[in-house]
Amino acid sequence: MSAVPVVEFDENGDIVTLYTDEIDLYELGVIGEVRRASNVEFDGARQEWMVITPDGDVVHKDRNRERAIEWEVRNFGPGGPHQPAPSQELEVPHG
Amino acid sequence: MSMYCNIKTQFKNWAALIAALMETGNWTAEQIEVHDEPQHLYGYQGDQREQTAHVIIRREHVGQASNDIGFARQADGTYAAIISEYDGGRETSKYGPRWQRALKESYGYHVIKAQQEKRGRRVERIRTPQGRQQVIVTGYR
Repeated sequence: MSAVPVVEFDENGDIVTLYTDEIDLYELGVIGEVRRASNVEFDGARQEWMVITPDGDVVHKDRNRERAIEWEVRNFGPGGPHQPAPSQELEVPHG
Repeated sequence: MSMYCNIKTQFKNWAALIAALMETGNWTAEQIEVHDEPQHLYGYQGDQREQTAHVIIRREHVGQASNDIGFARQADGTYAAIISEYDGGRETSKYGPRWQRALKESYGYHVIKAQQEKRGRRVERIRTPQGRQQVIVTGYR
């Protein structure tokens, strides 16, 4: 079963989170632009799963893919150390 | 691969909307009218307004000199808030932007709580040092 990301509300009461099918996000409102946060890929030479940032930096490794994904969700979601700064967050078109 | 997404909060689930109204407005379930067909709102002098809504809190439960607060179901199934300028138009209004933000936060929490508890999961909410509400789901193993 997949890890469920934290759902955070901004100063307007709108939502920032990692996309997940574990929560019916469509019931919360209208989903705006979606942007890549990170990737989990297998390193054949090292025989482990890597968590990679959009810039290509490997920030975590684990032999267990599910644990690597859990780490990714915990660290790239709201409140995590790899969450983008507010200025990097996406604007949702209002109106 | 993980994807960031932003969601513009919209009221789509009437049960969660009512739970949020009870929580943020301190209204009882009996004070919140729910109608299949939209009903007229009334102003502070008892005057019938052109506006209609499906979820209504009558003015006597809103405040002295207040108008009815309503939520009208739109063609797309979302509920649009109808709050008078007097009750919600200013930053300092009792039902102004601060309350409307709290209503959205509470709505989101109740939507997620209902969804996740059906699946045997636990849901809690915390306030970050920056003042943001976070909803955290646990027990998904």
